[in-house]
Amino acid sequence: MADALEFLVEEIPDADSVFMRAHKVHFRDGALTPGVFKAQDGSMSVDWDKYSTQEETKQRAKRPDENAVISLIVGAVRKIDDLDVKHTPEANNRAHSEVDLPNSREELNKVRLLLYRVAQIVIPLSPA
Amino acid sequence: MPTAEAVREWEREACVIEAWTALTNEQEQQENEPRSKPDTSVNQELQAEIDQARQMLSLDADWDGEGSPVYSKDTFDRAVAFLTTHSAYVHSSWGLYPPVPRVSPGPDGSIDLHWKRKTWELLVNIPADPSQMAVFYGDDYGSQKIKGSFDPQTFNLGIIAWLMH
Repeated sequence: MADALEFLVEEIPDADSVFMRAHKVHFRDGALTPGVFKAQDGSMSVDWDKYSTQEETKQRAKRPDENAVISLIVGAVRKIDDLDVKHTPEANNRAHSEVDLPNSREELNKVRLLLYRVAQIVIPLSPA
Repeated sequence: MPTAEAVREWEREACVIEAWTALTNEQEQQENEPRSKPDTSVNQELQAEIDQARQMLSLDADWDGEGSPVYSKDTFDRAVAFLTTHSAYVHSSWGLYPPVPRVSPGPDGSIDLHWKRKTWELLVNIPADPSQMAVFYGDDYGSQKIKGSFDPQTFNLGIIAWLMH
């Protein structure tokens, strides 16, 4: 069985992208809404495109057919305040990475809007 | 002490005369109906947005498979009260309705009010916990920014000024 420690933690270049699932609830008339960006334990899980395809990110959802996939350019994320994107590989997902989000609700609200602006939909929702 | 002030030319109101056209029966009926719309009337566009957003109340816990909580009627009602109160205030003050935001699910049971305009954008977040303040951030895609927190049950003139700028 693979061990997370087998995967080296690498520095993610600014030019690379990370993928993230976006549940259908976070879409209105085909457009993304800022609610998709939320912290779990202070960070947001994403997949580094060096080790994951867009489709693989989608398939990691519990219900893939309810999810779209969005992409964020790492350099664009790092330009938002003090945000960073860190490679945090897991045993079953070498691509796993995290965007550290601010604790303050005021700051988080700002960051969510700025992330929303740089996000690109790379796999749209499947037709209902 | 005199103050410097540019002298402006007198602006005359142009009077445009339009040809009179007879009303159809339907138009005449509408004209004769009493015009009793109070300033507190809800903007129809806003009401439509609220009706559509209400769907979020039917989501079950863990609706995304990642543990997201439900959206409570209490939070939704606070978001609606904020919007309708501010909309009515603007209408009674200036005779027009402010732009209508997209009302959508936010993080952790909170509700987002998102105005996305050509020249500015504003995100207000109404928290699930009623004891917490609402937070907001907006900018003009450039140097003008607005950020802070407020009690959503009170008027916020800063938000109103931003909506009307």
